[in-house]
Amino acid sequence: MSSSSSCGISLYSEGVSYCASARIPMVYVNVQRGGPGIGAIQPAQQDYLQATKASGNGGFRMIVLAPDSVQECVDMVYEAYDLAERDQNPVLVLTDGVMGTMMEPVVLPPMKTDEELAACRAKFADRAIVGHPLGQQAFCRPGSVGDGQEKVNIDAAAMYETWDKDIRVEEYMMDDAEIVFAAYGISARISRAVIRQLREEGIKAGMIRPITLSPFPYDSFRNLDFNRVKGIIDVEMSIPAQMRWDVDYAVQGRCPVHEVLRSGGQLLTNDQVLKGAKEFIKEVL
Amino acid sequence: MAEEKKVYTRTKGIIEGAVSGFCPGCMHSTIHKIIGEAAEELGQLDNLVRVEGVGCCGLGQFYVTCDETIAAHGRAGAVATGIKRSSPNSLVYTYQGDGDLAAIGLAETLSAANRGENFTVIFVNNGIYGMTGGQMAPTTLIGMKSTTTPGGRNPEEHGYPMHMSEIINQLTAPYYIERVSCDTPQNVIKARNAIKKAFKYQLEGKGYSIVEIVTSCPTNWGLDPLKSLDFLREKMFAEYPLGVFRDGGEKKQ
Ligand SMILES: Cc1ncc(C[n+]2csc(CCOP(=O)(O)OP(=O)(O)O)c2C)c(N)n1
Ligand code: SF4
Ligand SMILES: [Mg+2]
Repeated sequence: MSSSSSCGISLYSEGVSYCASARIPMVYVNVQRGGPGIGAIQPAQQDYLQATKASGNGGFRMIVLAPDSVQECVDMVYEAYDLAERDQNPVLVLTDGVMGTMMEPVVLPPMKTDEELAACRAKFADRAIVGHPLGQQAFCRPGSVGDGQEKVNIDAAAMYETWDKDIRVEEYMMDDAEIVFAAYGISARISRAVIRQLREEGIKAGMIRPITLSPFPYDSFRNLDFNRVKGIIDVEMSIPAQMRWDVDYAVQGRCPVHEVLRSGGQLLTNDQVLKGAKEFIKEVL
Repeated sequence: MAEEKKVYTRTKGIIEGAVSGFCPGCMHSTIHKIIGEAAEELGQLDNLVRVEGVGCCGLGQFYVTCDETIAAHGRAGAVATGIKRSSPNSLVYTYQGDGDLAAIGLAETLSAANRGENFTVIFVNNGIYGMTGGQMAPTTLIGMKSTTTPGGRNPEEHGYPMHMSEIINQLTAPYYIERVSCDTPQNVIKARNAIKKAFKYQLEGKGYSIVEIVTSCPTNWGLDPLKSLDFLREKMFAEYPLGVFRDGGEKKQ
C-alpha cells in the first residue's frame, strides 16, 4: 500500500499500469489537492477522470472507492485490500485534502489473524518471485510478446465484467426527490447539509452519492423517474466538472444538469452550494 | 577402454536447449551463462530471483530458469528493494544495461546503492542503447557515433561518459564494487568469480554489490564481433578501466 497527493499520484501511473498488466494487487490512496501540475496544496477533487478512466497507459480499469467520512476511509482501506487480493489488480481510494486532515472518532475493523494472513500468502505462493525449485519458475510479466498481451487484455476485461456486484451507492432522501444532487466525497457531505436545509424550506431534494466511482452507479441515474425529477445538481471541487461526464452518460439529456463548482484548492461552502442550488431550482421547479 | 569423465556441462540456470536470441558475438549470452554457473556453484538456483531491466537483457526472459520479474525501464533497483526486503532469504539480482541503469534509472540505482540494499546489480555497459537501435547512452564514448549523435558524441552538447562504478564508489553504503569484462577466457573467469563473490556477500547479508561488465555491441557499434573486441579493449577499457573499486570483504591494511 502507498499513498500520495495528486502530483505524486501522477508519478505512480507507471507502476500502477505495470501492476494492472502483471496482475499484482496493490492499494493506493490519492488525497487530492488542486491541479494540474503542482497546482495548489489545498484540497480539491480534480483527479476524478484520471482516477476512474486512465490511471496509466494501456486502458486498464480499477475499482475506485470514495469515502465521505474518516470512518469510511478506514473501512475502505480494509475493503480495498480484499478487493485487490481477490482480483489481483490495483485498487484506489480517492479522497481529498479536507478528509485527509479531518479528525473523527473511528472504530477499527478486526485485524486479520495470522492464520488468515498465512492462507492469503499460501494462495499465491506459486506466483511469488522469491526463488522456486528448478522447473517451477515463477514469472511476473508486465507485458508479453506475440499474442500473449491480447489474452492479458481479454482476461482483464472479463474480470471487469464481474464488477457490477461491487457497485456501491448511497441514495439519500431519494424516495420523493425532485432535485437530485450528484456528489462524492467531501462534496457529498456538504450537499447532504444543504439538502436538509432545502427540505426544511419544503424543497424535495435528495442525493445520489457514488461510493464506488469505478464501477460507477450508472443505473441509479439511468433509472430515475424523469417525470418527477426536474433537475440534477452536480457538485464538485473541480473546474471544469469531471464526474459530470458519468452523470451525463447515464442521464442522456432527460433532465437539465446544473453545476456548482470550486477548484484549485478553493473549498465549497454550504452557502455557495445552497445559493447555486436555489438559482437552479427557481429555473426548473 | 578409459572411463569418460564429464568436465563441462551447461548450467542449469539456462533453460535446456534454449537459444539465447542475442546477436552473434554479443556478451549478453556469456554473462547469462556465468550468472547461472555462479548461482549453481553456490547451490542457489532454487533460490535465485532475477529482476530484469529493459533492453536487450529482455531476451533473457526466455532463457533463464530462475524466478523472474521485469521492472519498468530503470526501476529495477526499486523493484529489487521490494522483493529483497519482503523475502530477505532469496538471492536477488538485477540485470540492467547502461541505458536502463544510468539514464532513466539513475535515481533508483543511486538510491538503492546509497541505502546499501542487500542485493546484487549486474550492470552490462555496452556504451549504447542496444535494444532500440543504437541511441546515445550516458556511457557513450566521446566521438562515438550513435543514431542520436550521428556526428559523434560531442561533450559540449551531450556531456561526458558517465562512470557508474566510480560514482557509486563515492557512496558510503555499498559493500562490493568491481568492473570486469568478458572479452577473453581469463576475463570471463574473473567476471564469474566477481558475480559469485557478490552473490556470496549478499547471502552473508553484507549489503549492496555491483558488478559492472564492460561489453561490446557489435550490431550497433557497426563492427564485426572481432573488431568490436579491439574497440572494446582500446577505447572502452581506456574510459572504463577494469578493477576492484571496493571490496568490503578484503582485510583493510
Ligand atoms: C519507459 C520506457 N522508455 C523507453 C523504452 C524503450 N527502450 C527499450 S530498451 C531501451 C534502451 C536500453 O538500453 P540499455 O539499457 O543500454 O540496454 P542494451 O539493450 O544496450 O543492453 C529503451 C529506451 C521503454 N521500454 N520504456
Ligand atoms: S543489439 Fe547489441 S547488446 Fe543487443 S543483443 Fe545485439 S549485440 Fe547484444
Ligand atoms: Mg546498453
